[in-house]
Order: sequence, then structure tokens, then C-alpha cells
Amino acid sequence: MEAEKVDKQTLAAITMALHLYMTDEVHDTEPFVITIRRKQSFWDDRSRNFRKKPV
Amino acid sequence: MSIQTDKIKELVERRKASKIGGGQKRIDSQHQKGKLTARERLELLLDEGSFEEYDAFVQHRCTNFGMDASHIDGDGVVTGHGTIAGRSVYVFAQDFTVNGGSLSKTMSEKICKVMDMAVKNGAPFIGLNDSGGARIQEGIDSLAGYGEIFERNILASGVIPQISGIFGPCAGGAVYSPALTDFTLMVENTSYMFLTGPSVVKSVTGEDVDQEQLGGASVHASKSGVAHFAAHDEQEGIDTIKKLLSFIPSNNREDAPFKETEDRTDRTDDLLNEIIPDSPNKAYDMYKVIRSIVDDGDFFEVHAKFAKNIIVGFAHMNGRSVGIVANQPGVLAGVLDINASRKAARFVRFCDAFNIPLVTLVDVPGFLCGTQQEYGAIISNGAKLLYAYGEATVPKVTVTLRKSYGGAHIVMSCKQLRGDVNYAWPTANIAVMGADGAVGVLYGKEIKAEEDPEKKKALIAEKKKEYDDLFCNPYQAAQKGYIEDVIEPRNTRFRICRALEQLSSKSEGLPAKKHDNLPL
Repeated sequence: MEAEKVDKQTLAAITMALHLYMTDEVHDTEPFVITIRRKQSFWDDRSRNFRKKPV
Repeated sequence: MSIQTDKIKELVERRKASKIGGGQKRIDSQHQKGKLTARERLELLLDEGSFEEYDAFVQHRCTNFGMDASHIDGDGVVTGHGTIAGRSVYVFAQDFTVNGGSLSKTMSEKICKVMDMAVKNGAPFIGLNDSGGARIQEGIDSLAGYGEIFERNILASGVIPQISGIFGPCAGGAVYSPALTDFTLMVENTSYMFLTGPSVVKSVTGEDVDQEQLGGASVHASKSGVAHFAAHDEQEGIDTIKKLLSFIPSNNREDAPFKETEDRTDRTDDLLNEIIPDSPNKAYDMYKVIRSIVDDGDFFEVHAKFAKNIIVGFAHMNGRSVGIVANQPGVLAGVLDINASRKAARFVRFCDAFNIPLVTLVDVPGFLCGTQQEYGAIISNGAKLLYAYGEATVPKVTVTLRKSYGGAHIVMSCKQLRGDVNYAWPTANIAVMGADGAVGVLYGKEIKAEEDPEKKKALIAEKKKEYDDLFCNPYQAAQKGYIEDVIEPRNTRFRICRALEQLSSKSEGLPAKKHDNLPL
């Protein structure tokens, strides 16, 4: 294959594939989904976290 | 024309007169100095048409030194209520065109009134200072006025955010009100703050210094840390105050405003997988990490020019306002010193007081050593940051990127300071000290005894590797549960966002006490 006949994007893709292969790139698994639903509650009522006066 | 119509006409005339302050000539003089008037500043600061002025017709009551012959409605300060982005704020703006903005008893009463209103209504309080100081003609009354303001600053501290804008002179006792507020902004070349001016300094110490060198914006923003922000001009100053407000709640019972974002929480950044240099002595730019993980790369830095070895500021993560504290390996290797400790401690305490979760990014080789630091009380100052983190009950998420050594490891929101979720990158070294120092302590005798230079080198290398393998990784800490997880750097944004969601219902208290006794 002659280099001048290959477009730049193809070259970039080949280079990236080679880079990934050569560096043996791996990634940790993550779900990337946050399933926590925001809710209103007295549990974390800000004023309840204020310092209490000593008895 | 009816009597009532006449009276309305009088009201209109009086209001018009009160708005002119010290008169057109003095307004022109203010403009010539490159400064805006009090009313022009408020116009820029507040939502259009939102300002409701209080006490426009107040006059001073002083009769000394011929003061009874001159009365100007408003008495040198414009006070009232308005909104910024639809949120209530209470404001004062000193009017330099009236008696040089000097503080009279009545001026202080006007300021105190809006401070009281701000506390009662749970709204931020913003003061725009431009004053020559105490009104000398009023004597002790003027000082009493300052005292009233300071006491309110103190009582409001931690209840509502207090912001000071310095848009002109602020000298003598007057400096203590901004010093008591949460944030101080100064404008370059037109504002200055000092306890005693250049002429007094010259006569007392013989030191020749001008106003800018003594207490200009750049000095206080970079050397003393008195100013959190330095703006190039008044417009930029006002914009900075508005932006700051967008990250903070109106009072200590509310959450900061939520900011919708298109920036997905599952966005990964491969750059972070390659940002840590192979050599532990090489620096990288922590700003790149911060901008990579926060919503839309938008980071609002506080104290940007002061103690650059630590970075503090606000950002949003998944729409929530967060306070970021991060060591900066690019400056002094990210070491903690007196100024960095003071800077971060104050920021952590603000965030804790106002329900803003803390995200801490750690790469700290330790505390700065030397006589300068020890004589300057690095022990007490470092303890301030330690105290601030240990006391904070807001959600605390910590990520150790690289070094986290010794006492500095403990200070930077470690697990035992009630850190809620602590992560580490695989590149993290959580240890008592780095391998170089540790080998010297552990094998000093053996190394000294080895006379052959080649063998000595090999021995050091062998012992360093032994130490590295054992301690210079995150897994020792992970094995003991001192960190929750080791995470891949590219996933940091997602992990912090999820941790913050998890901690959004956090409720944690402190023992009953009158107040703490932090090492001031």
C-alpha cells in the first residue's frame, strides 16, 4: 500500500489501534450510572446539624 | 394644586436631591479618578429595578466643628435591598462624594439596619466600601459606629454569607469589617486597605512606601491574603461578586443554588490516565485535573494569587456546588506552608458553615520545613487546616492522586478526620514519607558503613525499591480500609459525582459546646 493513497483519518485510526495494542491499554470497569434519586427529607435538615448548647 | 399634591412634589424633590449625594462636582471628580459612584455600583450589582433604598433621608446629628451647618440626605451611604439573579441580598455602598464617605454614627446605624435585615431574612450581605475612615468630627460616636458594625459582622458570621467589595480607600479601624466578612474583593489601582497610611509608616518606622505598595489590591491578593479577589476594574469586581454568589447559598440552612448542566457524569477523560509523570519529582498542573472533573470545566478560584501551592475554589459537580481544595504540585511541589494552611482552612470552614460539600485532591509531599516556617508557627497554622477538616460535617470526598506523606496526609482530609469517601489513584503513595527520606532513616547505618560507592548506590536502590514496593502505593491504605477504593483516574468525575449523590443526605453532628477553641 502506498502511503500517499491512504487518507489521514485511516492513518490516524491505524496509529491509534497500534498504540492501543502496543500499550496494552485496559480500563477499570464502571457502571457509569448514578441510580440514587434525590429526595426531600428532615434527616439532613441543616438546622439539626447546628451545635447544641451544652446542658 | 392641593396640599397633598404639594407634599408629593416635595417628596419627589427630596428624593432627587438625596440621589445627588455630594453634588455633581464631586461625582465628576470621582469619575476622573476612574471610580464609579455608590449608586452606579449598585446599579451594576443588582437586578434592574430591584433596588429598594432604605433611609435615603437620614442625616447626621453631629454639631461639632460646624457640622450642624451641613447636612446631606443619606449621610454618605446608600443602603437597602435588591436581588442578584433573582435572589435577595442586602447591600450598602459608601458614597465618597459625601464627606469622603467617612463613617458617622448615623451611617453606621444605616449599615447596621440592613445587616439586621439580612440576618432576619437569611439573605447575603454585601458591602461596597469607599471611605476615608472615621468621621473625626464625631469623635467616639464614629468609633462606636464601627463597633456596632463589627459586632454584627461577628454575629452574622456563619449565618449568612458576607461579602466586602473595596472600591476606594479603606483605612484604619474600617478595615476590620471586611476582615471579618467571608470574602473581600479589591479593585486594582483605585482601592487600598491598611491600618496606618504611608505618612504614619514613614514617621514611625522611616519606611518609604506608597499606598499601592502598602495596601493595594495586588499586595493583599498575593502577599497578605487579606483580599480573596483582585479585579482589574470595578465592572470586573462587580461581576466577580455576582459569580461568587452563584456558588453559595443565601444562608446556613439552605443549599447552594443547583446549576443545570449538559455535562454528563459518565464523561471520562483519558488525559487523567497519563497526567502523573513517571518521575515523582516532576510536577504537573492540578488545574488540568480540576477542570477535567468539574461541570463544564468551570472552576471559580478563590485566592488565586495567594499561596499558589494550594488551590481553593468553587465549581459544580452534577449541578451541585462544591468547594475544591487541591495541592498544586507545580508550585513548591504542592507542599503545605503557613499561608497555604491558612488559606485552605478558611475556605474549608466557609464551605462547612454553608453546606457546601468538599472535594479534596491530594498530592502533598509534606509540610515546608525551616526556621522561617517554624518561627512563623507552621505548627499552629497547619493545625488550623487539620482542625477545619476534622470539624467539618459537610460531605467530604477525597482523592489522592500521588503523594500523601506524613502529617500532611492526615491534614488533607484523611479518613480519620471523618472523611466520608476517600479514593486514591493507582499512582498514589500514602506513607509516612517518601522512599528517599525513609531509606536514610531506616538504613542510615548500613549505607554509611558501605565504603564502595557502587555498592552503596546499589544498596540504596535496593532498599528504596523495598520501601516503594511496601509503602509507596495505595494498597496498604486500601488493605486497612483507610481509603474506600482505588479508582482509575479517567473515571474520577463519575466517582466523585456518585459519592456526592450518596452523601447528599449526610447528617453528622458535633458535641455540645459553647464554641470551639481552634488554634487561631
